[in-house]
Amino acid sequence: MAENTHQINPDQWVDEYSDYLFNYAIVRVNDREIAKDLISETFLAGLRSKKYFKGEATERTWLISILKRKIIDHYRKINSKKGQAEVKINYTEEDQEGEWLEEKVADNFEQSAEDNLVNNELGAAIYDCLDKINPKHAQIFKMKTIDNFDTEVICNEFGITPSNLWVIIHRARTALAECMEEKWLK
Amino acid sequence: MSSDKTDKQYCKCSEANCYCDKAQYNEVKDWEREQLISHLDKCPKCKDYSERNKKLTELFNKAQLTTLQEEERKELKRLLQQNLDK
Repeated sequence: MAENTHQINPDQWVDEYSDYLFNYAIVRVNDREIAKDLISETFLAGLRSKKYFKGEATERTWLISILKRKIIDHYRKINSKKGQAEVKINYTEEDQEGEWLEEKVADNFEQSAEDNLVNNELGAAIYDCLDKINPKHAQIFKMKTIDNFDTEVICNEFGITPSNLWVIIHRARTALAECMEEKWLK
Repeated sequence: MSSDKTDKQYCKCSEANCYCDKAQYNEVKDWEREQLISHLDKCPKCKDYSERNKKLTELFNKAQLTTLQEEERKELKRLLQQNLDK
């Protein structure tokens, strides 16, 4: 019988998974505030159902599965509102029959959905690799590369010199390149 | 000493890699860029690193990653803590 080794630890959720979940959500909903709300709802739902966590998947996979449901619920709400709006548009102008806003939006969505899928897969790969490197290096790397903080600000925050910072950035980049080599850098 | 002269004209691999990293963030100084270019002309290993480094930057840009701000993170922690205590 397979041993269920994964533990649940809500105290660490924000530090360990919030950025990953946030990127997952923002790629799909394209709105920072909505993405934040979805993460809050995901964590609360996770807390409510933590007794059902069997440890067969990682905490992150489990939280992602909750987030996916939250995103689907979000789109259901939007679509039901949009559906009502469409009916109104459709019945106000008879000669506009067939000029469905929905169809035009759907075409754009197809295009962006494909891009989003690649971006999301790439984002997940980057976060997976960041999880594997020294946590302090990962944090400094994220501040420098993703948040675009000035070198001086990061050095003050961590009490390091600019030389130290560039050594850390170099180690992080080398480790990330090795981690992403096979699938993304060849 | 002749090695001093060589060092001034031709930087070490570790320095070249550092300049290359700085270049990814547009923080390389002109003289560092010149040394880097000169180094890459003669060092295939660093040239490989530089090319891989550029691809890595392209991937990060493509992924359009974003993180939560510190205040947003604290807010989430507060929310979790309030509900953990229930």
